[in-house]
Amino acid sequence: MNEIRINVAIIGGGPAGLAAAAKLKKLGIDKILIIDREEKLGGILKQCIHNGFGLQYFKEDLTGPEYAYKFINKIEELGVEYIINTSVIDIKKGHGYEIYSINETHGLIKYRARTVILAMGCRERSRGAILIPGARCGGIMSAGSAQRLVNIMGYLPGKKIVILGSGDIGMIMARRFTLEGAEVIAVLEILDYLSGSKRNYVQCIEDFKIPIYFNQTIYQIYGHNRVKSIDIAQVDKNQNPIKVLERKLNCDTIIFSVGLIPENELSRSIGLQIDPVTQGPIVDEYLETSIPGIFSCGNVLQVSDLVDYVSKEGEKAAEGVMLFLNGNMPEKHWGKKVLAEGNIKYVLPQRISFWPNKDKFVEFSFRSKHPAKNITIRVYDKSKIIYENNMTKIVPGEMEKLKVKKELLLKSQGDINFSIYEKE
Amino acid sequence: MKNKVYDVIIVGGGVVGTAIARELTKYKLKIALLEKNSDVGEGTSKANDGVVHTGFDATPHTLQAKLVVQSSFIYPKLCSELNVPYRKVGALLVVFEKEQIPTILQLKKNAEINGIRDLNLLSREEIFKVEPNLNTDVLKGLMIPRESITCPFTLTIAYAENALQNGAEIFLENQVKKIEIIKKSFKISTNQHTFYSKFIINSAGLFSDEISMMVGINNFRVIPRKGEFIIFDEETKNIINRIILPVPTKITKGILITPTIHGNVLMGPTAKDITDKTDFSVTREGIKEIITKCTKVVPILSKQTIISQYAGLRASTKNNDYIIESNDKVPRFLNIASIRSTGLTSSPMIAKYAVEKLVEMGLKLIENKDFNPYRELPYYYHSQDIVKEIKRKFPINKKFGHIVCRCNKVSEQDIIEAIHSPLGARTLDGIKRRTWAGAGRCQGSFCETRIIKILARELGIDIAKISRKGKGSEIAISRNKETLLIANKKNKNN
Repeated sequence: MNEIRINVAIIGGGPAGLAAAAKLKKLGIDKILIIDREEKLGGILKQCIHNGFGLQYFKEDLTGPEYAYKFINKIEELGVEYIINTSVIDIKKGHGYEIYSINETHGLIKYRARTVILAMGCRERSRGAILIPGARCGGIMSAGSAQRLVNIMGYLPGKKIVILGSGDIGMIMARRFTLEGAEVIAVLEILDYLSGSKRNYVQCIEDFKIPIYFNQTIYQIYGHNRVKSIDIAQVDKNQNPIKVLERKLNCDTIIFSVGLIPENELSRSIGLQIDPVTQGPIVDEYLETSIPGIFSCGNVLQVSDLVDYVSKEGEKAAEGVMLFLNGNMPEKHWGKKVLAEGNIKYVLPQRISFWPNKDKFVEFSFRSKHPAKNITIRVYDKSKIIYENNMTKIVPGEMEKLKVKKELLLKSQGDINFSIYEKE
Repeated sequence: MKNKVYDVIIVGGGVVGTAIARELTKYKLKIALLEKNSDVGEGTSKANDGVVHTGFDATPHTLQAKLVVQSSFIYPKLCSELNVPYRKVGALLVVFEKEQIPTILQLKKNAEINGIRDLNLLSREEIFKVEPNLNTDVLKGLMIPRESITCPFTLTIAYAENALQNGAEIFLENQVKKIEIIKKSFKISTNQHTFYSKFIINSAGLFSDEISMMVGINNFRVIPRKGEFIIFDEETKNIINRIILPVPTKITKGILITPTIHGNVLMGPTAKDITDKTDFSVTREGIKEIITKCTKVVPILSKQTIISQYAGLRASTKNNDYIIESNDKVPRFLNIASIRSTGLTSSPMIAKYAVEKLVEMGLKLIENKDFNPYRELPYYYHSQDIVKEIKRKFPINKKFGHIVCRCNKVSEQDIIEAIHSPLGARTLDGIKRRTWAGAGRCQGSFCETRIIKILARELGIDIAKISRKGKGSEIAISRNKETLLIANKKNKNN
């Protein structure tokens, strides 16, 4: 087997990988290779034909494919190399990293890379993972699968549809089905608040008068060959069904939009430390993982609401790779811990290495566990408050960002904590 | 199609029916197998736990005990002939209550009566050496070294493919509607064709009573006994090393925890008698029962990722033993019923036993010297060792390098091979059972739409005709806006 030597291997040519590649090239790094398993670059954006992308990054309202092409054109111009229809099957340590891939042209190919950027994105949580009982038959599909079926292949999965979960893809698909001639009879959300963003709620659910019900779930699915009907139950605070509200509601399709799972099988197989909450690698401020030289960005790191954030993350990882390749390594890799407390679900980065550079701030992303109003985000160490920021509200469906002065973090003692304080 | 005349027709293409079809091709006979579903193994066989039993706990001196025990010894050879994955993992029966200790001593004696002498009792300390993740409350264990695992789908398909290769014919989507006795033969009408045969073997599983009644034999009734299962993500695979069995009761072997041949961990089955023979649904109670019982045995399982659940129906009857018998009223008609859950294990010996019965009933056997017991490893099959697979397959066809199912690394060519194999896959489930595409942690959410496109292309049919498991379970119902256009047209006409 031949071995191809490169400086940076980017696993995944979606928005994170593309942004990382473009940035690296601009920073003067060569021998970059994007490896993507699909026949076209762009990742999941290819099937996101709705608009609303790029408002932050490009200050333009773009569709998913348009957003992707801005980056694809950029890397074409810059001459970044990429290989498509190629699946990475294994990454091993040893003189940099050995990346084993498979494709139709070469069979097995081995790349030897000095650094790796993991940008594989995520997969959808399946019905099986959330234990919804009942028939196992036709007419049951995940939202992403349905999105591909409708938007790329041009086929409808059913006529009378129930969507489980109020995640962004679920709400967007509710609108899409309606436009394509199907009837969405209900969107059910087990929580008492939206899983996705307010914007999608307004534009997809409210504007199309699609019925949405909170604190409800599918209790049972009926049907032999195909879904025929469902029972709907009300749930308590712990999401356990307490009362069946509706029996045998007729429908022919159930779409599951019940969350995304960062696809970290490769990360696990090389032994990266994984955050049990984000389900992505634990990283520092330059998105370096527990193994020096391996970086991670995009939805494989943390599930973002906006692709604009994902692109920014890709660029951040690229800066880290540049520092690494130029030998500007931090004195102490992963020196400081950042912890989420109370109503903070997670904070990223989870570690700070204090990379030697001119940055004045460290940007944190975080989400709350449950909605809250009139709050203070407090960043503190064991002896003092480092930073405080007031917010009128916070919801789990929307990721928050916070910049803290690096200088303040450097002075802190021990771990850094993030917490939410609710005012009266 | 012209009327077809056969020596033997087998009704029902589960693991038993396909095993018999293969066994009969060892002789110069004209054989057909009729199956109502779109694939073989679509009834009871598809939802088996994959355990190849030794028969240690079977009731001595029953037909079931005899056939299970004998089968367990010929399994390794059978699986190597048919290229079916098989692994002798052993089983450990665990005891948590003092009162159950006499039962396991009794089971050991029972095994000895059945001719199985390699069982040994394990102390707590010995148990933790081999199964460190068991609940620390365990008192004693009984090791059954020869208990094994296989793939129930692969075995059923392999029997069928080998039977086809040796001259049997298989008719899928042929549901038997009527059987008439005409002189010295049977006239069998299905939803599609008419067949004639001198002999009939009824291995219709859940529907064996209905088939039997078509010829007027009415001496048993099938009671579907539901068994539900929960399957874990691959990363759970090292939590247990062998099959973990509870102490069995009279009704059921109980809920076990087993490694699967594909590298997952499986828990189940429950046992509940129901009335609807088509009810393969998973129930809230079933899931709860499995989780409660199994996490008591292996507590760490409560923290693992579940990827799927499924349910199967055992074809049980009030009879405690197998029913493999002819009836003087209807010569040349053999019933095989009440096989319940042990059919996967006993299928090779049931097949031999059925042939003996046919001989008693007057069938003349002439050896088929061309019989080839070997099924070559199909190109669609692939082990978990993707590097090994790509080295084996890539030189044959470059499309083996194009991965379609990312979780289980199944390639486009694997799928094409499954479609064009002797008993070609026609549905998503058919592809899944042959290649394991869509059976991984994402449960097909990535590859499903891609596979239906390949199926449509290879079969030359519209995507809206591709189903999950046969007619009525199509993945796509129409083109976008088609329903809207039809509705608009209707409105205009009104």
